[in-house]
Amino acid sequence: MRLAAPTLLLLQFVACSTGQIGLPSGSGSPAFPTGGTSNVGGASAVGAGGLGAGIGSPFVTRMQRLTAAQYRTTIADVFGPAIVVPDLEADSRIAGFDELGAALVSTSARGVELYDAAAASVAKQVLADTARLPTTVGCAPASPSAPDQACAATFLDRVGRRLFRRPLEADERTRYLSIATEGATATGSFWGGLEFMLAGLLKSPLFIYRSEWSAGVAGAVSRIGGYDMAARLSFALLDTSPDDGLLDAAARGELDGAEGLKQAAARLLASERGQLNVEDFFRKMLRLPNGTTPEAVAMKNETLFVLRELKAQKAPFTQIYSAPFTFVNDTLAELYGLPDRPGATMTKVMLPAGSGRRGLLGHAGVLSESGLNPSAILRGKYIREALLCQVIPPPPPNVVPVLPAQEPGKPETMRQRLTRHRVDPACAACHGLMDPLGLALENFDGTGRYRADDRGMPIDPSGDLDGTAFTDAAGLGAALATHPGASQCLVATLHRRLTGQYEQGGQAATIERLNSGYLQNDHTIDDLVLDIVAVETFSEATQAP
Amino acid sequence: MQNSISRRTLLRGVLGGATLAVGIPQLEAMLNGNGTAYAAGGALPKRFGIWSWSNGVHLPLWVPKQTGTVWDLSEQLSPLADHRDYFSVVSGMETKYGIGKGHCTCHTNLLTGMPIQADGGFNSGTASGPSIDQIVAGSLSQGAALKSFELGVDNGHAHETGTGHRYFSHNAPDSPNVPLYNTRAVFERLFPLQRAVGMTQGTLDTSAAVQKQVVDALHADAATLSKKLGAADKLRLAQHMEGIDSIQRRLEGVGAVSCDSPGAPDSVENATLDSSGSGDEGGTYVNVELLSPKLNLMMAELLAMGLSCNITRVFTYQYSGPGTRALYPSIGIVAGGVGHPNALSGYHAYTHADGDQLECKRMVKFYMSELAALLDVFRKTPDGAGNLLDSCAILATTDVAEGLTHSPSDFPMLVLGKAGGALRGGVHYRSTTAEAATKVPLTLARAVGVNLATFGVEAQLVQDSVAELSA
Repeated sequence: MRLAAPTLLLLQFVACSTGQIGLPSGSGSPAFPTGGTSNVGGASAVGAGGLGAGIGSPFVTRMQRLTAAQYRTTIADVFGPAIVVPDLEADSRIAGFDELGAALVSTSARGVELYDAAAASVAKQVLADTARLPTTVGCAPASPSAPDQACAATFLDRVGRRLFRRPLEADERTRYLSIATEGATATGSFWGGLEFMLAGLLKSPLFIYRSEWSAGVAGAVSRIGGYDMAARLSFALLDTSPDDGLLDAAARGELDGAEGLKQAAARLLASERGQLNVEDFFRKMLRLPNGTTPEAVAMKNETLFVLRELKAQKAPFTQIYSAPFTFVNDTLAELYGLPDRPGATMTKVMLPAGSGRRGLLGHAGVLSESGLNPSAILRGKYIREALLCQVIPPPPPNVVPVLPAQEPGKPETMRQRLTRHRVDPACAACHGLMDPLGLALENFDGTGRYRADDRGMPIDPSGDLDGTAFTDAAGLGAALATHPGASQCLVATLHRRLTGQYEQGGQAATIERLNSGYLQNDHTIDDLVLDIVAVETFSEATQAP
Repeated sequence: MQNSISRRTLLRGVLGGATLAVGIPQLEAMLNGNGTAYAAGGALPKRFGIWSWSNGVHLPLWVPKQTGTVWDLSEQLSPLADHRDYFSVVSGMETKYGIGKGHCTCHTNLLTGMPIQADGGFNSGTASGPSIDQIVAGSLSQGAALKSFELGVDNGHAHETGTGHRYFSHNAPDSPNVPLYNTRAVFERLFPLQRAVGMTQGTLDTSAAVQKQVVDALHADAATLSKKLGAADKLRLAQHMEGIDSIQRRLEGVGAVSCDSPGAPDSVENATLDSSGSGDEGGTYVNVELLSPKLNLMMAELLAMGLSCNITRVFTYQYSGPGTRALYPSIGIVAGGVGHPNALSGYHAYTHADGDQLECKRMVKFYMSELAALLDVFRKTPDGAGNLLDSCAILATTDVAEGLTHSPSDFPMLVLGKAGGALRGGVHYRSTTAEAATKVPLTLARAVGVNLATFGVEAQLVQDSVAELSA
């Protein structure tokens, strides 16, 4: 399963101080913020992972909190969509993903209060519909006004397994059944006892957090299996807690080996929810609009539909940057100046030659990202950071990040103006990486509409992407599609989302091996998801010190 | 004397109109004859607060021309005219770690005294340690029901990686205190037994013994989970369990106060315009301006109640978060690209626009008028022999000195309140040597009796208060 062939790291090292891109020299101390930083693999890419063998280090485990979305979906899955989950503390997104933030960010005192209130509210709602109670609970108590351990246990065993993502241990079972008994006695109601018990389960750190594995010895590596793998797989591929079928598979040991894991993953991925989860990943990685207005939905769907089409053609993801076709409805067709009027339905159209509009960089959702007055700098930063996974360091201290003033009566194009600010070497180092890429998109205004000139002044969209010259935005897209960093960035970002962790320094070899396999085997995005599930960084973990 | 104002009438502001039964803070019966201390002998509590606004100021319009005690209000400070004796201006100081990663940097440097976390680049926008409000709360909040209270009006903060882009108050790295933006949520946290119908815990509140049993089970579960965690995650879990214990202590009556609980206010918060991208300029946008003055008054009155009832003694009122993207239509901060909602840009984008930035200049004055409204409420709230602001030390500050440059130099800071006589008020102190701005939070901490020996690290390590601010 593991590719034995040594692979050369394609890590890109952005050293703004020189403006050059090359292989990282040495490893160790974080280059940020005094120098540049590598695009993937963390600060010390050549770590303990055994670079030569192409095997990366498993992650040091981190406790993952359920994101607010995962919490809500889990409640809907277990108790039905009618249950209203009150406010939860906002997630703190890291590197574009709430899931990565949930591995690092602590819950505030107020956040704990919100969990407390949510647990009480959900428990109350679940047990409020007296007509449905026997169905909800799975049995009827001997008396509605007295404890009934057997019936409480029926409910606890089913619901507790879903919430804790494993069967309860004997001592846990005893404790929660005791709560049901004492609660029923105190309230004079069997259902009141169950409400106490269920609220307790929902308040438990064993529900709110997960830590997938432990050998009990700091630094020890072992395979994640059983119920821990069921949870890992379900949150990675469906963004929710594992269902009964997956927990049953875990109980049978089917997730402990590579083949069973792959089969389970393929089943989850093929589901409607699995496919939506992949699209949600792309929305976050590519920073697509997330609104609910018709325009925002059309912009998001344009990109997602092109990705679907590429998958159907078994074409690599990177063709998103050079695709000669796109999907439009009337709104987008008008915006793009196309003759087609397909109505409200997103419809595949070929893009006319000559406009420079090709691939993702011609999509309205991307072109409008930096605001109504498009910023060539932010557009370039987007390409470097979101599409190539390069981290542009902040401006050095003592640099005032303001463009030189424009002289009254002497209008300049954006290119002229940005060229003037790059005269300063302190600015040029990093802006030489960003500005030329953003300037290639100057033919498109802040809404994504084509413009032949900039207030009457000619636009020059030509430039150079890391050694590949281009003449316009379409050329930049073509250069991106063949840029080694493009597929590597997709792999690295998907790897982050699925493992739930940002690289810690030893995962670069795994990412590069995945990238090689992805490129060599003409893999689709689904293949790549299954590739990632199969690697050591997904199935193994290192015990944190 | 302020005390002659009827307590029942003073808080009858926007919260609930004439029908609202308001809290009765600091009952006279509890005080000594002069209203300067508790009858039982204890000193009246002091309060510590942070008040924040977004995207800095325009320094030429912000810094007063004269220094000392005789100075004219600057253009951007003019909304605070009614409160001249109650606040001081500090200018000329700076945070010492440059502009860093923009809107997460300066306020985090100022409030923690430390550089932002350098975590290999991907998560460098978070604090490296606790912010001053939490340091102060560690001792000032002993015995209070809530260690600290965070609330806000404009939730349109920046969206880049790192909690410093979102929040001013931190317990530790990656451990922010998230503000409450909804009036009902604020009310329910202050007065948890007064939850609105539908939000009550029902039977769960009534059976104390069973409730205790649940808490014991949660601790047993935490012990199980803890076995699988490394040291860093053990701390995260411990913080969570402290939150659970805090809820339980409160249920058992710790920090109970003798205030009348007011009725629940209307549920008010700024609408979220969820129609934007998820990138640096994306996220959620709020149309703040339509509601802000009313929302600010409600929040101010709720906060005044919480403080004067001694439910909490430390607060962060994040009026507006770092680098807000919110819209303020009456100021001229409006959504761009009608029909293309992904192009919404908000206040932050205006601060990076060419030209004279008239909208941004108006925004600073708007924020100061909102701050003035808060001070109004605090001064109308009696506390002992004086008013609530007499007992407060509040640092009002922002995320960058100027929005256009993200500059840390000449950092805008206001010192509000008298801290029980420890702060002088009415001063403009201008540093001519670019002293570390961390002197100001140190001064305020000491003013409320938290006698830190030093504050900050490296170039921000300070041991002297700003003497000019002290009474």
